[in-house]
Amino acid sequence: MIRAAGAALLVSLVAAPAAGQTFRGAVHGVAVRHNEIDAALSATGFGVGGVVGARRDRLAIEVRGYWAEIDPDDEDAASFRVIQGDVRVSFLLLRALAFEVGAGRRAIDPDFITQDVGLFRAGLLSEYALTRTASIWARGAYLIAPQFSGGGSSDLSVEVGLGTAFGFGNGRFRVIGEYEFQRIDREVERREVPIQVTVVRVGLEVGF
Amino acid sequence: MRAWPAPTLAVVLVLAGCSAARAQQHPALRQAITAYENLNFAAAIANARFALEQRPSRDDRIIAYEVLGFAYGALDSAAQALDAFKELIFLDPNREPDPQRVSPRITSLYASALGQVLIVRRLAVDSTSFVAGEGSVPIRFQVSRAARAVTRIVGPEMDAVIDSQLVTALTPIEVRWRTVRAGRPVPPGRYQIIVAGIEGGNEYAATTAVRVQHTPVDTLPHRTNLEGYREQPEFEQPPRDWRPLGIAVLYAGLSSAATLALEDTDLGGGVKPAVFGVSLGALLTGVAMSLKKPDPRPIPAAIEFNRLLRAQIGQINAEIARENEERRRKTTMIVVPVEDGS
Repeated sequence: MIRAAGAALLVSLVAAPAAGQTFRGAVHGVAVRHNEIDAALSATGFGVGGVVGARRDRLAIEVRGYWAEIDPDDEDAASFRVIQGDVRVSFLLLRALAFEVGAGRRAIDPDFITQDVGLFRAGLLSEYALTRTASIWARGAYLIAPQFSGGGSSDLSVEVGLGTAFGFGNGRFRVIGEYEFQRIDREVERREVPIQVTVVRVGLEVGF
Repeated sequence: MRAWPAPTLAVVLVLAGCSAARAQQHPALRQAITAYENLNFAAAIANARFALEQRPSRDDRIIAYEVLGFAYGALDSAAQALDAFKELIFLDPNREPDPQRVSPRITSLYASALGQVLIVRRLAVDSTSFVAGEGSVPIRFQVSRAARAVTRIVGPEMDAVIDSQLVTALTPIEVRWRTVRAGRPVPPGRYQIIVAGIEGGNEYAATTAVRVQHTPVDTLPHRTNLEGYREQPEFEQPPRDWRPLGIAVLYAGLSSAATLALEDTDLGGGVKPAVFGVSLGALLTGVAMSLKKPDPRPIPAAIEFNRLLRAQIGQINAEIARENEERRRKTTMIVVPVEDGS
């Protein structure tokens, strides 16, 4: 059902380009800080990612993902890989304020080194055009009913992000930099096992 | 011998001028002019009549009859003077004594002679050009007596009477030829204009000729502007301001504060460098965009004004295009008088 709706939305955006419609895509390097349970299990890694998005009038859709190789701070712990994908759909409410919903999934390889997470989100996105070629945005969302590969639940799960981009010339190419901070207060059998992930992206965006 | 008043002497000068203009004069005619200049009218008459008996050229005959008319007029021989002037009028209908320089007696005799013959004189056509169907060629003439004047055009694929009217003596008449036949411009070529004066059994015709040429009608140039109106600049350069920096501070501050408030420090560090790094990048972007020359700002009123102006010019050009389409179907007629014999 959700897949069908997403596909229909994507087709409606792509199938009939029109005035007021823009597309953009970006590739970026990623730095990931993964914290879980306590400081001893913190890990840091780097990887690559990408994003594609389309906007038509008030409606926008964005699909993004990254892959990163994560090394725990504890040298005795095993490294792992993170693959995360997110989709977000936003509807512009005001000039610089949009309502945003979406879903995401973070997969860990090898399994069970840490938690795979699947989630839905609902929040607000505010993007402001500083000039014709530069913009800044901030977003905040409540993560709805996250699911974990190791079970458990979460009462409070939120994410916050900040990004900026600036371009040269006609603004077709822009340098972007942003971070996303995600906090999930996971509980398993009334035991707190929180997860905190910070992702920094720096890359190059092309729009048309 | 009688002494003649100054106007008569002036006539002599006229004749002398004529003789100077005609180098092919018969010797007897030159003697006649000399005799007239010496007021020896009898000798002038004798020499002029002798010259006429020698089959002189048309120009010499004109001079001879003029000398005869003037000399008989000077001798008060009205009947002979009238006869001579009639011959002169038939030979050269447009020639007449200048009333400012010639004795009234002689001009009176000439006028009497003119009233006794039927001729068409002063037939003239001016060069002209016009769009076929929208103009005409003026044909002017006079008839010496009250008569019916019939104007006829003869040319390529055409022999038609274009006008017939009763005219009074010596009244300037103007007939207009539209150069259109059966709704179409007459073909280019040489056309003879014949004006005949008809009075009872008498008829006299004068002719002249014109050459008719066709050229396309000039088309109108398209407009690129509207007089009195100029396109307005659609963008203006706004003054520099620090709004981008202010916005960046606001966004970075709120995001950083929220992130740091939500951070669970028990889970280990690593969040702050990311937050501060990206926030610093956002602030630098804000500073750079504040220091940068601002983007030109559209002026809606000017854009609308220019849109209306372009629409107006487009409308005018559409009308010009229609007019030019119409003009391309038309023909400009160029009418030039030519020598009757050419």
